[in-house]
Amino acid sequence: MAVITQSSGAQASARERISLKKRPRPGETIIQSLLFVSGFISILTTIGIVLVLVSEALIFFASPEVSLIEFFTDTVWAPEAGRVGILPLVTSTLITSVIAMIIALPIGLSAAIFLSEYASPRARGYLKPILELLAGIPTIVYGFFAVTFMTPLLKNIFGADVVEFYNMASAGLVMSVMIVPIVASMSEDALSAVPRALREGSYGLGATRLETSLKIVVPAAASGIAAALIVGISRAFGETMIVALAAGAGPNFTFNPFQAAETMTGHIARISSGDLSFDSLDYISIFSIGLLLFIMTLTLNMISRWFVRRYREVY
Amino acid sequence: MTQIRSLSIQSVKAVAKDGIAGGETQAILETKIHAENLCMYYGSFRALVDVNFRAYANKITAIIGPSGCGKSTLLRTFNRMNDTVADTRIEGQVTLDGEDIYAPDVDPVAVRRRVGMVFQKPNPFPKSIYDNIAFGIKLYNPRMPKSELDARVEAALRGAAVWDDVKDKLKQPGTALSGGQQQRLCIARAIAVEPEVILMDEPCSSLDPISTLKIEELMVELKRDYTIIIVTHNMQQAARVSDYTAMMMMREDRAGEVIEFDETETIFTKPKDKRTEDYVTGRFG
Amino acid sequence: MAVSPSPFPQTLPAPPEIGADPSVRRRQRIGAIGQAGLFLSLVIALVALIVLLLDVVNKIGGMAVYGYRVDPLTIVPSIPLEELSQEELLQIARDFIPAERLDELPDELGMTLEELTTDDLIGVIYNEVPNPETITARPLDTLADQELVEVLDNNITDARFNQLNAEKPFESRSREELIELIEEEVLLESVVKTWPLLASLFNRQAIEEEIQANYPGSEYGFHWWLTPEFIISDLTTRPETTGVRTAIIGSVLVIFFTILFAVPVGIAAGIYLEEFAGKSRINTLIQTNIYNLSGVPSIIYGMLGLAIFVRALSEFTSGAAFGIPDPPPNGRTVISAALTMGLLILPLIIINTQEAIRAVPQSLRDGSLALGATKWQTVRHHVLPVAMPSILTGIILGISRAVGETAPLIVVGAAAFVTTDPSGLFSTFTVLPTQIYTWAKLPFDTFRNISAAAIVVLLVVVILFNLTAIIMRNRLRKSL
Ligand SMILES: Nc1ncnc2c1ncn2[C@@H]1O[C@H](COP(=O)(O)OP(=O)(O)OP(=O)(O)O)[C@@H](O)[C@H]1O
Ligand SMILES: [Mg+2]
Repeated sequence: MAVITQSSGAQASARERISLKKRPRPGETIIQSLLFVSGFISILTTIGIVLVLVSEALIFFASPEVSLIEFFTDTVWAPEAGRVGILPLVTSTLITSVIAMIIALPIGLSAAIFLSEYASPRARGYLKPILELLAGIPTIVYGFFAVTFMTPLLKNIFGADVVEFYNMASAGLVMSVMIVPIVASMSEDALSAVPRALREGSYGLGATRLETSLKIVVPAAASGIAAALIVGISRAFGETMIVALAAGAGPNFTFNPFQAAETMTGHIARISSGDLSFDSLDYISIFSIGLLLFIMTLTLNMISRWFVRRYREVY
Repeated sequence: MTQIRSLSIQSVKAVAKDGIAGGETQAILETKIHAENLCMYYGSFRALVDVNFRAYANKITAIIGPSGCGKSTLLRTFNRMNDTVADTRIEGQVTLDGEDIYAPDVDPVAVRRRVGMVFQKPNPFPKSIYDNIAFGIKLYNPRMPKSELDARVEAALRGAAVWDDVKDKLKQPGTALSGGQQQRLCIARAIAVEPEVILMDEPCSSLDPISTLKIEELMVELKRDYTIIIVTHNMQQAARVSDYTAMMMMREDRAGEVIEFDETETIFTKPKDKRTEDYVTGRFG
Repeated sequence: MAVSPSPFPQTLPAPPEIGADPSVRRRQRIGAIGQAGLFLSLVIALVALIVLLLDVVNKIGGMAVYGYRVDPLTIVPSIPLEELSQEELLQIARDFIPAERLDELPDELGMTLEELTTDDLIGVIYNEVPNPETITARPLDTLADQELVEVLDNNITDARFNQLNAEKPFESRSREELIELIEEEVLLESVVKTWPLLASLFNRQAIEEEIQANYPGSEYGFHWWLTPEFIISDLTTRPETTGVRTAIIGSVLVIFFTILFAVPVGIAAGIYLEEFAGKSRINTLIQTNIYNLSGVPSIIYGMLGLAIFVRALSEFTSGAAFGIPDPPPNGRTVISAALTMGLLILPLIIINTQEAIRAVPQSLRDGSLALGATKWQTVRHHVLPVAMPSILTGIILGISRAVGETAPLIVVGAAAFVTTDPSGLFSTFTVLPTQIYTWAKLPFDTFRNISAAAIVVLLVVVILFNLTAIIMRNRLRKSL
């Protein structure tokens, strides 16, 4: 290697040296602060939500007509008449959500399994975006669908005297139509993240495609699927427009899905869209409902995130 | 296998005969980078322990050692690139021209300006070849006139021996070049900001032999103006281009240490440590 | 992998000859049935959604029967009964007084109708005939132009009358134009019955027969609800004439200010969390918090907006603090809506920005930092340009969410009846989704028709946004 030659070591040190000392960079500092403030806005949002809900709820519970026990046990919700049992609103929320999930879970999950395990890449390439597109349809459209299609359909099938104009079944069924794309899309993500090798190992043992899908791939993606399902439930709890249009226009304590009963969200939407006075008990009462709803969905979200973290598959 | 091994020893001897870094130059050697009792932690994991290392000005210093022993980690302490990894800290001292680069009042950005780096995988910016070079220059001279900027870009590309390959396509994306050209572009990018030291982390490991040769020639050219520290797995490369060599090894607790530091000739011909001898002759894992 | 291999020994006793083993054939049959079941699920899901879209489209046009809300005979001038002859009055009495009353009357009066004086006869007619003045009403098309203008003048407000005159002087309008004007302004020509679009297209014959049987003599025809006029018209109380211009402008304004607020803040927060935030407590808190916020129901954001922006900050959100003339009484304004919507889509934009930034290879950052670029210079010149298309995709999805989001705006803006176009931050407003909600709530077919028409407008916008985002993202995925 003849290229290796010796040279004087003085050259570099002759060059003017730049100081290593810290120098003020006001621009950098300002930008970093702005970025931090932006991030902090999310904390402020949460603080705002909690503060608003809790403080108004405290005022509500402090008023003489209201007691906490009555709140959770009375079956009539009529604040202006002094009855503040949240049960009718909660049962209606639960009934619509349960109807929605009973249908949306199996269908959404099955559709996801089909897309991920059976559909050709080409078909998947078309179907997945369609699902995502549908998941983006505003819920008010589903609400419209419920009153103009599902309710008349139910009346036709079960009889106009059995099915009320507003009813929980219609809202729940349409909610399931709304949730299917969400569950399917999220579950498909989880399923397609399972490595090929796992499937090939199963085929190698002579398992059929269905056996591989249900016994190998689905368990392997269990945490992602569980998260998808919980997000689905949380969506159902918080969904407003469908129930506001289709489920009912007044609280009603009933377990009959063909009867009208307003849900928590539906009630909040109706009360706050009226010409309400900010001092009325009606106005203050919706914040106690909001607080309960917030706690319910927050719990679900935390469970979902816990699932993902706790059982995250390391392939 | 044995053939290659003996070949490598032969070439080492050839280098030694060419006569590098003999005792006669020792007098004017100037220490550029000096690590003293350096320990480095990734979180609670100690990656380096009690490292003592020296890089002389206008010399090429090679760092060799088995995979995972902390070569890259050591190299990245010299320009504080490890700061970009969360939760790292060091103990001990690293100096650049006698100045502690980890002193509280030192700006890591200023350190990197003086200690440039070339990475294992060529990483040109997804911009035009021209902008790849001009970016660094403009960082320090935002208002440089176009003509001067053009001249500086050309000088850097010539300096990295890549000008002839790219002079007709300066506006094309740097990522469209071949691997070897990309790596020389990255070297050009590094020298465009006129650092004093260039750190190279296995710069040839993703290149073909011809590109490798070109970069090796380039390094030898560059040491006239720069101090170079290179990490390499290629014993022949270390023997061919470097003046000094540091041999690193992993201890039981997986912390890396420098077990021997000497002139390259000595490391490859009469190492003091048995492990070094095993390693350079290929007897080691 | 955590999956236990235990299912295999039980379910898969490796058969020697595949074709011959009956258990394999059984398993394959189950497999086929299972596959069909899975496929069916997908089909059900897609069919349900197709039905949903059809249901909407089905209502944007179709056969319709027209009628007048106001009886034309009650508004036209009539000939006073006093000017009629005895003969004519008797004729009217015989024609219009119910038969049994005609029989009873002579007994009550003590004499026959023919024996009454003209004045008494007129009195009897007034007593016995409902709406007696319509008997001698002159049909619209027999009136002179001047009389038509008088009819108009007598039946609409002076302001409207002058406005119409200003649009085109009555003297210069033709007879047909005047009659049409009366039909629209006074008689409130309206649709009394509608049929769905598909039935109207494929089964028109049957519908026409039905109309002729049930609505003899009525005008009918094919009526489109989704028309250019519908998009550019003011909001009115009548489905036949109303439009969504005010709502569209409201939506555009709200979305514009939402973007102005949420996009810079969202991108900045994403950059902060991905590039600058260390592992400190506060940063972990911010990150967890953002994930949790993304799951909070949108109506809760509405309540936040109602309590904070509409109520607590009403001084500012109504514009009163800024000296806006004539501020609205509370903060139910565009800015409150935009801020609420902004907070709602922030988590979405932040999470997406973070993912986009995370996908930028570390080697790019290293290359820039090693040149002595600062962190911000590195982000600004190398990370953001590479991440931008992906960040944009998320922004588009966020905007599309904001365009269709209804519940929080119902709470914040109230489903108000707003007929003037909003003009700025402090205007009261209505948006397309709340307008749809207001109409869909009314149990009348024609309101559902316009609700559907407005939904189509909304869906076109939302689907265009989403399609763009999805295509962009798939392109990006391929190019990586
Ligand atoms: N970002 C990091 N976080 C935690 N540990 C790290 C990180 N980077 C490296 N390490 C650990 O530090 C040790 C030294 O790694 P380093 O990359 O310096 O080795 P190396 O000698 O360069 O290896 P190679 O020859 O394979 O490049 C390894 O045990 C590695 O796992
Ligand atoms: Mg390395």
